[in-house]
Amino acid sequence: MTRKPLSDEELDLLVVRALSRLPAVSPSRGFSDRVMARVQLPPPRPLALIARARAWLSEPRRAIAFAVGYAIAASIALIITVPWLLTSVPEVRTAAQWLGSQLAAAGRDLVISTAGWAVKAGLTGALRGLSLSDPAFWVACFGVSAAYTACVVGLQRVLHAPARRSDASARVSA
Amino acid sequence: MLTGKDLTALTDQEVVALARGGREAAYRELVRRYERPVFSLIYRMVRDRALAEDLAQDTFVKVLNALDSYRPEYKFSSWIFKIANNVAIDQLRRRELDTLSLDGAPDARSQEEIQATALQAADRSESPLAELEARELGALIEQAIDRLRPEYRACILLRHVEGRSYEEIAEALDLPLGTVKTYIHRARHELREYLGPVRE
Repeated sequence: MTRKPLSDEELDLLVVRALSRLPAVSPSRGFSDRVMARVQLPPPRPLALIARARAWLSEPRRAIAFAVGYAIAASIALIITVPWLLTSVPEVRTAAQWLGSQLAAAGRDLVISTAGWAVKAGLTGALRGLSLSDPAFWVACFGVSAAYTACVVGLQRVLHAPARRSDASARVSA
Repeated sequence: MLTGKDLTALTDQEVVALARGGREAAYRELVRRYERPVFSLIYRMVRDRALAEDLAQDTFVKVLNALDSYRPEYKFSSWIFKIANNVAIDQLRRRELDTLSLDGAPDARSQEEIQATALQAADRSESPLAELEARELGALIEQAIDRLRPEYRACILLRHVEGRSYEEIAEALDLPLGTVKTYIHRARHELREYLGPVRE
């Protein structure tokens, strides 16, 4: 095939035109699925934040520091805000006085009714006859303490059981 | 809730922000937007379809697993092309590539595969003679690109095939702007030299 020689400018134009006409090549079908199978999706942001907070708090020292800090902050806030509210806002002061009198009346009623029930049930005689040197008294005290401790330990195990299981399964899968 | 259709209207930066929040649809949208340009670039760099698929997959996996390290002040396209180019260049450094047959990829077995992988530059609106010429020229230019240095090849493909700006290419390839211009100028000169005698 014989053509007239092209100038440099014409040849350059030809090159650029040919380059811009090159078609885009597509990967085979299912490409995006294969990519997605290898990509690790992050958990939704709120869940990730909760998980990070839980992980941070899982160390006992941090948890204790957090609890103490929270308690101190809450106490300071209460110490400052409650007296200020009581002295500065008349409605709050009136409401607090009313609530206080209601609670005091309820407490008084509870004490009187408990005392009346104790007298009727004959508990006063039993309490009067209770001797600290009686071994049965100490056995009863020990039994109640042991039962209470067992309940606390059991409750803790129940609450921590799923986390321990998932840790173990994670180690196995790793 | 945003659907795939809604995502198409968002910018790359907005889609990346959604993907960072854990939206799978946003990840798929990024793959959909860039699978063709990234695959085309890698394919023209390595000249092997199966290998290009693997390298393109590696590129996307690297990009999508490192979205947290992406800085939105840069163009997402520059970032993904940078990783694609690095992946391709690494591969080219690792091995010597066989020359691609212009009639189709070397791994193509059936007639259908050969046709699908053949490098065509034909414009369907042209006459049969013009179509033949365009096809011939397309094949020649592919052959000429193959002879360029990998750095020149990446520059010329990003500039004239993907239509990226000089600044974007400089950002993507980690090169000074002047170097990009020089590479493109030299690449075009080499392509001219290769095509010149053939066209006479």
